[in-house]
Amino acid sequence: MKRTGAKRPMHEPKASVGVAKRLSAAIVAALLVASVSVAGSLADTTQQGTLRVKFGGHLSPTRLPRTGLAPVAVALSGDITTTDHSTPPQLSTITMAINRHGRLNPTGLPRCHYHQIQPASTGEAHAACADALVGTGSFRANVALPDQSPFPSDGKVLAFNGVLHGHPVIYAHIYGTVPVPISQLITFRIHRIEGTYRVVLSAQLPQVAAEWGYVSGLSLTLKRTYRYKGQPRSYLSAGCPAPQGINVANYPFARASFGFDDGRTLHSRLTRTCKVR
Amino acid sequence: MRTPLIATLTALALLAVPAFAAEQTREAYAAAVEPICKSNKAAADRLLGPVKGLVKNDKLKQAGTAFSKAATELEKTQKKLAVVPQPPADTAKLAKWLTEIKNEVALMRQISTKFRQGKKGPASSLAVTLQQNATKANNLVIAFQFNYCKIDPTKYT
Repeated sequence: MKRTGAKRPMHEPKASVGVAKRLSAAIVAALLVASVSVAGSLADTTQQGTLRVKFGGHLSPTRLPRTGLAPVAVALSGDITTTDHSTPPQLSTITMAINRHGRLNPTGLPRCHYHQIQPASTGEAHAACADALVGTGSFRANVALPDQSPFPSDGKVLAFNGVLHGHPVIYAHIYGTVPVPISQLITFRIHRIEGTYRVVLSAQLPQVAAEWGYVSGLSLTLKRTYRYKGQPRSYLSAGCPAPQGINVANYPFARASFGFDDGRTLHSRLTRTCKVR
Repeated sequence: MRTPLIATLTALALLAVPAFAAEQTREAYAAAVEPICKSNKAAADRLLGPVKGLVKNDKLKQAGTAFSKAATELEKTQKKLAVVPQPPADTAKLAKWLTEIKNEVALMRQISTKFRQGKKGPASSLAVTLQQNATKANNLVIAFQFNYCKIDPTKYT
């Protein structure tokens, strides 16, 4: 949790540090949720006890080649709520796996380094790493302050291509200005597994006190096309390998797990439809 | 005078017992229906598991037969689910859910017909509708936290 130098007030009351921590915790949780939810027109909702997680989103375009790959964008959205309106537990881990017919390839894409975007405002982060930008989004959170009702807060999310210890990662930069300017960076490790879902993004959230706040909603769209060695490329690409004679198909789009600090883990799978172009 | 009073109290008590006994909770309802759905899932896995391979190899008649049999199994399951006592607060929601399951049965029969007619394309379009309908049905019963009663036709279609 770091504060942005550029937006720091000159005479800041000490109490705002606590506020900053609370907001940061909420932002972190929001981002994690955003990264995991990948979906289509109908959201997938899972519930354990009173805790409910709703995922939504879509892949675009839906019309894709039967053989080979085409550039795609993945729009994600998510909501964490409780059925009894109590404060949800803090999100601690998030894992998302994408169908094997989708590909995430950062080859030739400029990389952003941690120190370039943290701490930074959204504008500063964008200016520092515009070439490495792979997605944008937003978050909504409720920040809990002592002796006050939780109040809503929102901000922007920027996703950058990066490398950590030689492995590809996505640095998700989150920035909010209410009640005080706060920036946070979450690292999503990218690795591959065998099976229906092949590309896995996972992140661990810092443990924070539950009373600091909770996420209420978020959205993130991953999309980036660029040129490398004179050839057009896309950070994300996908195909629609339906059998001959079939031009529209259901497919398991993504699988996600959300781990919360009270020990609960909610799993979700998203099914979407593609059309052969 | 005492006898009629005792009789009245006894009668009231007898009336009260069924009233309390009928109070089904969500947890009890889920516990009652999950085994029913579990056996249906086993049948669906057995019948529809090979469908993807059959369609890829253009064995559409066999695929159609598999869908037809699976539809019959789901219809039987729906009838079993319909007689399970429901939590009073959820009767409207569960009625819609049971209707959506009926719709799934109808869609599976339509898919079966299309496959038998050799119409792969229309069958796959109906499979998309089947999935969307399943999501709608699942969203109706989120609060029950079903496992086996959560409909998931994706792995077959």
